[in-house]
Amino acid sequence: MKRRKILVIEDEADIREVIIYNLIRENYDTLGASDGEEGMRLIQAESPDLVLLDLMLPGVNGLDICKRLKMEPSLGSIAIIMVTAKGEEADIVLGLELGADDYVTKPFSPKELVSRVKAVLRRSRAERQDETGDRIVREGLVIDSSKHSVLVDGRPVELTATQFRILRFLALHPGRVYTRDQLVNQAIGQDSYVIDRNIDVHIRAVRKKLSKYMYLIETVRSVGYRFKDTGE
Amino acid sequence: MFHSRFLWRLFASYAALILISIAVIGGMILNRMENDSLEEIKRSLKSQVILFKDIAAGYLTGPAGDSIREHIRSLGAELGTRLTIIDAEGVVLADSQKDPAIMDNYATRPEILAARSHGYGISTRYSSALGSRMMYLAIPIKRYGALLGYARVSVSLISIDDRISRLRSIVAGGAGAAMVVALLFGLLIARRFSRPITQMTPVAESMAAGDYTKRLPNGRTDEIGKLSITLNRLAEKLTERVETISKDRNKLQAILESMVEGVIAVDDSERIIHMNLAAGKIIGVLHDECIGKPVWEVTRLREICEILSATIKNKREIESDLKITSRGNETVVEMYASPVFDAGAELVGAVVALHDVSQIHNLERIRRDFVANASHELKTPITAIRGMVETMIDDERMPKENRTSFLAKMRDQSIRLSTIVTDILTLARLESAGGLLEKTRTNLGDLVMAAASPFRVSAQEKGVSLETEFPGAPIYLPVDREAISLVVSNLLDNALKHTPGGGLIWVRLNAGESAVTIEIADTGIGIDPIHHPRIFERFYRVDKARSRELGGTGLGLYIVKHIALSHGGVVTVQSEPGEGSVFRVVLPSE
Repeated sequence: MKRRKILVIEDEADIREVIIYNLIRENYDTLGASDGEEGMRLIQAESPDLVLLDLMLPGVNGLDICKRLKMEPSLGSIAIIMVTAKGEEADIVLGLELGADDYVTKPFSPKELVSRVKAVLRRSRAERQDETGDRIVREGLVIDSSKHSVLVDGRPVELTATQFRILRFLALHPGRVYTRDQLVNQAIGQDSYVIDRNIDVHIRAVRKKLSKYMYLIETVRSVGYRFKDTGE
Repeated sequence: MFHSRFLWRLFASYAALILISIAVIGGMILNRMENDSLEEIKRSLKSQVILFKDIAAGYLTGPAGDSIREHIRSLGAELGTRLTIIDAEGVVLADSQKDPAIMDNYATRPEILAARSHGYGISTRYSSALGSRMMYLAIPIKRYGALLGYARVSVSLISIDDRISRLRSIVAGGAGAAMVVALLFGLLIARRFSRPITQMTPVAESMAAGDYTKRLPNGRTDEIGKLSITLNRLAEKLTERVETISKDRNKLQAILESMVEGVIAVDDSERIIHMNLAAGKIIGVLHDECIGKPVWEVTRLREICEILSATIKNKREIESDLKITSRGNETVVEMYASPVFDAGAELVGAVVALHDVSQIHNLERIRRDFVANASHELKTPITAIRGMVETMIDDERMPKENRTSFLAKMRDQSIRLSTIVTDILTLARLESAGGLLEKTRTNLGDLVMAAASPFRVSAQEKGVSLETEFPGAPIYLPVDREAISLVVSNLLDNALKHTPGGGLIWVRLNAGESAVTIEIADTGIGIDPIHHPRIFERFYRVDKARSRELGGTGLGLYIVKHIALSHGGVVTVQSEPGEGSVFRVVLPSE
């Protein structure tokens, strides 16, 4: 298999070095950039598979890079993991809405970072293989789109149309965090009347119906929700 | 006083009464007198006719002779009466005053007609022949039942008429005089009655208009007197009440005016009934020009109008926030509105308190920014250290050179961490002390020298020469020794970091008339003037990467500025890229 190329944009040299050291150990090709301009240049020149992006950068900031990446069709497929310090939840939400795939907060453990990188790369590959997910199986949970049915340990559960759409959308992208806005726009559809905080009500209802599998839907405080990545 | 309607009414009715009485009484008296006089004349005429009757009978029966006519003429002249003898056909036979030959037939005169039918006739009428009113009295003269003729006596009433008219004018004059006197009296009486009332009126009117300073004259014991006493007492009571109320109101007003919070009270139609100075200041209007105007006319701040109308509508307290931006300044205001009920629990309006929390908000924002910045500054070395430590734990087969490099980096990062912590703690101590510095009278030259000495070694190592320039006479100043040494060492640390080998650093101390200047100059890389306004901000770095490399925390100059300010001084910078920098800390002298 072709080696994946990862670009690390981080202004603090020591952190950049330790991230790159750990990625090399996992057999990734790595590139490093200490500011936004250099980062953008390397993205265009090297077209990496994934960018580890520090949001607090001198010059062009991380969110701008994120925006540019998702706006350019040729670069849109590049996965982004944001690296931020806590207390920047607003930036995280914005980043996710701009199209970032995941985020890691400082201080992080290199192991966790590496596993996130793996998960995101696996997911982006899965998406490219076009897992439309007529039938999604996660642990004892079966979501069947064609029959519009959900089985919990073989027993069918009743879900409303909105609840079904939310569950299916989250289950399709395990490990990926979605903000409430994204769930409203992408899972339910913009034409519906569900607004932001209403999502919480739907999620609560879905969790209740999943009973013992309710842990599969995780709350990411101040950000949104995520389907547990069980590593399948 | 003469405008008093009351007086004129009183007087007019009085005058009418007098006029009518005098007219009635005068009329009656005159009438009676005329009647009495006429009766008297009638009686005298009666007795005269009886005397004249025989003469007339003689004349009628006997031959008519001149002597009798003469007799009648003289008799008539003597009596002052006109005597006439008339035959049965009415022809005048003899008359004491006129020639019978030229006289008319008297048969149809009323007294003759009455005498023929009743045996006695009397008539009073105006005689055009004599030019005066006359009374005529006639009786028939009969003999053996046959009518011979008539005897008539008449007298002019001119004297009576004269008398009556004279009397009338006497009565009229007397009545007039009496009336004038009576009316004058009447006017006086009317005035006496109306004066206290007309006096009371303006006083009562001014009371009604709110002026309780006027009092009514006392001294009368009648009802009017009682009324004025009562009115005076009423005025006193009202004065007291008004004073109490206005004192209370002034107290309330003073309290409201001295409040830091703005207060706006409106009635139930949202008209402003009160607004204090603070409220005017907050919403940017002159507060005393707003009273009585609808709130939406006074301010364009929709939130204030809305909270008041919502409070009135819902009859309950409402809390809300308001942001006012004017001339680039943002004011954050907390609003508490509550409905106002009267004693009968009826809604009469609403009151809103405006609390300017901009300062709290600002402090909060500064604090939040500081925490965010500080945590970011702390997290960076921690992230690096943790990343390297965990990597070393995981990767047991890490090559030796990587291991050594990681350990060296970890040492540097931990040094950096402790520098940041030290700076943050210094800052916390300086800020929490709130300027409560431990000032002692200090020889500034010695202090600066001592603070600079640790840098001599590192300057020498780097090949930078460090020179000091102090005035001959020692400078004494009350300063916090620790703080001022920190200022010197922070500035020297910066100078040394940014001055390449072969460069120069001066430390100068100048004593001016009113200030002492500590000057630290270098021949280093300099600072672009675009950064000058911001270099004293917390965590501001001209070159982030370079600063980290050199172990800067972004707090050094902020600490310098803070200390300078808390000593009542300032810090200035003068620098151009490539030309070195000059930092001056100016402290006021004693």
